[in-house]
Amino acid sequence: MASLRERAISQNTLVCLLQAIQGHETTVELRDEASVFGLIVNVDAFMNTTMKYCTYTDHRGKTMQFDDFYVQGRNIRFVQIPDAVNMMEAIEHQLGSIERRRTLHSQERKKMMEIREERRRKREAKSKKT
Amino acid sequence: MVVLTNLPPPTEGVRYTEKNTVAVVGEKNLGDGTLYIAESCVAWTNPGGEGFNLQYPSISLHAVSRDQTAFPQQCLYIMLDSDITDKESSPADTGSGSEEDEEDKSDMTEVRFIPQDNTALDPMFQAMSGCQMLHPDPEDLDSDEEGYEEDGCGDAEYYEDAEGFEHLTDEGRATLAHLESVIQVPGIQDGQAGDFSNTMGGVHSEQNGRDDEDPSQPAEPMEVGQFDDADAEK
Repeated sequence: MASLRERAISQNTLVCLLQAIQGHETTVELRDEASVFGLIVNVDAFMNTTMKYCTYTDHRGKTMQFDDFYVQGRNIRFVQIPDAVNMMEAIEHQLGSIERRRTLHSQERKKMMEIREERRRKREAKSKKT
Repeated sequence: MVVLTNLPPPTEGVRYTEKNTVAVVGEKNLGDGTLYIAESCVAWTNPGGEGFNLQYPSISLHAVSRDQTAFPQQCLYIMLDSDITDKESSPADTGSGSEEDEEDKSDMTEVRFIPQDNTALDPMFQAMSGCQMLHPDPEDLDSDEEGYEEDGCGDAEYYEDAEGFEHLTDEGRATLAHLESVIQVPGIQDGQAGDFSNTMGGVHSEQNGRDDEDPSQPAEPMEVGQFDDADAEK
């Protein structure tokens, strides 16, 4: 996961639902009436979506096959959530995994602060002696 | 017609270069040339030095096409959000949209880059994806995000101890000095707390007191916040 800002967006918007369907096959409908069916590989905080093994159908119904596919978030109109996905559970699971990463980060930070504090105390004790 | 110009290829932030790459814009084969995937744009030039640039915000999607029934060669497929193949009809309105010809739904251009070396397609795709992420939709930067920034979750840097002092603005130093003077931190006498590491942590910490990092002094971040407010109203 990238920047703090992206994490904040993922945590505070429904983009986390789309991130929760990473690894599922579904249809993404685009702004120009085209649609893409394929495997969702990655959805970033800006809804930019990477897919694999896609069938792209343009607004005239012509299809094309793409092995790898990347579409900007602003070109996405709908993402069909597969029936098999329980949306509430998916959101909660996704938020949980973001939270776990955050906690890990803050634990590391806390440890570092403790080490620094320890060092500072030693330094102070030293300077008092001299 | 695509307009080929004598633009020099990008030199900065080039993520990927692929020689011997044929460019096809719309139906027109422009021949062999070199493809540059740079952080600022995608560029292609032919051996004569003529070429074209594609700006990331105008690229709706990019993909790897290996389906030879749709197109005879494996290629990097790019769809642009405007029609750049029909410039000569109305050279005056280059930038403005096409509100008049709404019935013409093919308001896009297909660009295909066909590298001689098929194995280049994956790194080309990855480089494009990486660069595309550097260009978020300018219209999408709505007010919501400012909220996150205020929450302390923005990209703003924060410091946790005295190292950060030199990065403070004059205003920041004044605020810090004021906070230092008004906050009574328990245990300050025995040197347990009350230095930069605590005050800065309270003011700029990413968690902003949401984590119970320091259960022994739960009131501290709250106090900092209160005085901050009072100061601003003066």
